Amino acid sequence: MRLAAVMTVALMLAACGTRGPVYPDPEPHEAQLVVQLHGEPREGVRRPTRRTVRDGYTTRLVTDEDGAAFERVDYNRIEDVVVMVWPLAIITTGVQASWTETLDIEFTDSGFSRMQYLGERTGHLRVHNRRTEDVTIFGHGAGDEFFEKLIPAGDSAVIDLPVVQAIPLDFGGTFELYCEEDENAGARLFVVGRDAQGWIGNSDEEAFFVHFITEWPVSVQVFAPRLPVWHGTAELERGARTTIQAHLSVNRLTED
Amino acid sequence: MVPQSKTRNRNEAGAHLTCGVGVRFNRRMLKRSAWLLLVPLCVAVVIALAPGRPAAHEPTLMWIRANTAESGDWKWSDAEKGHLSGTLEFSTRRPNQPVVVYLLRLADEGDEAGEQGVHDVPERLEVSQLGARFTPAFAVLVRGQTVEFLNDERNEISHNVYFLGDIEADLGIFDRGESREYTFEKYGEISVHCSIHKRMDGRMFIAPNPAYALVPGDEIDFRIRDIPAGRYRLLTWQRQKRFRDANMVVEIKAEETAEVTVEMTR
Repeated sequence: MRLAAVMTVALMLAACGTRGPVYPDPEPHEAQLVVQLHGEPREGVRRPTRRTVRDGYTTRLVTDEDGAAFERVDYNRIEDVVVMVWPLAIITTGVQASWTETLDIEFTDSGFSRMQYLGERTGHLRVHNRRTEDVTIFGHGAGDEFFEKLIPAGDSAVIDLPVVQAIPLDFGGTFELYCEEDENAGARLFVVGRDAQGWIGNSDEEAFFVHFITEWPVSVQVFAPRLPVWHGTAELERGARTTIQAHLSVNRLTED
Repeated sequence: MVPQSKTRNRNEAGAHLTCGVGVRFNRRMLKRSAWLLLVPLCVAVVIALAPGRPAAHEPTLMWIRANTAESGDWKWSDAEKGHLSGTLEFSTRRPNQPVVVYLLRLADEGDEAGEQGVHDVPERLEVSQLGARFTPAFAVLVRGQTVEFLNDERNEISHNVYFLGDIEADLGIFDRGESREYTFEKYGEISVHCSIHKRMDGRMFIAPNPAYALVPGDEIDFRIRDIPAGRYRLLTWQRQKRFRDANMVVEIKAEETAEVTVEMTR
């Protein structure tokens, strides 16, 4: 009886844990889009070999893949995935209000705290230098836009992003971020263009977009660190929610 | 929950178990409190196994020139050759980053790229994967050159190599003692990764032909020898781009040295 009660509670907890997000019903004048992210492990990869080691009177399992260098890619939870959506036809109605918020970026002893960031095309960066020495942060835009800022140790500084020369019908642009004093530090900043919408999160989440007021098809690109870019299109409909699936994988690369 | 049974000494049926902190329980107590222990234990395991924020990628940066045009030990087949001598001029302070200056041979007419000509290919570059690290993690190659990725791990560890960028390919998964080769038939920039280990990253730049120079971070002068006479587009490539890349046309004449100033601006 007691066991049955415990199992019931456990099942209820499990059910709560796997419940998907709840989205608002679409308004009659708007279209919604959900991009479900699926990370696919590389086909043919075996689990790390384990062997039994006797340690005094006990035995334990050890693997040769020990240490941070051997940390494996978790395709169930790929971090810092950026999803960009923009219409495939010229429209004059901006689908997203201009952001005024400032994007905060942490710079620690390990470098940039994230591999990818998402900001607004005409926005600002506030970089927090958590190191005990001054650092110089560089940024290079795909259209040859540059910025550079010296940030004192333990201090913060605001950087006005140069305006990316966004191509019409494009999502906005990217900046590569570097540090003068740490050549191993690097990250990518995506900026959202006038007609685009962006989302950043992990692959175990869903990218939800709302307020599309167009019935044109939209282009969807998913940028996951270290993986090929996923491209797709979605047909949107007013008053309805469209769901598409994006597969994040290296399995479709040509094997030589 | 308070245990009902009194603690007995070890001589009584040997029913006592001693946990790591020296507290003694009998089997009955353990049985009763098992469910109470199970829940925090599961929580602790979940927390322990939860993936934390990974450290930023820390590839080993090693600038390597896998071949050298200056040595003259490998050349184009063309008969008439000239040289190029130049200086990089930076609009602000020179970052301590190497810059690759390279030439793209133009067609006889117009500004489009033409045939790059037949040239010797330098020896293959071997890239180690020991310790789940590409070594070298950065290299400048020439189109036609072969790279051999060695799985030289000391233990039974498999690796994979795939490229993203101007050339995209997957070399498969290979075990210790095996290797994979790839010959670059195109030029451009690629990032190199292992799909198994999340911190195994590298970068390569493949020049279109042997006419290139890798200018170290503390230098501004460069010289490229034995270039077939003709028209070229001079371009630059920076691993961490701090300046607008140069793009200018130069003409190489037989037995002459063309001199250029390459402006690196923002």
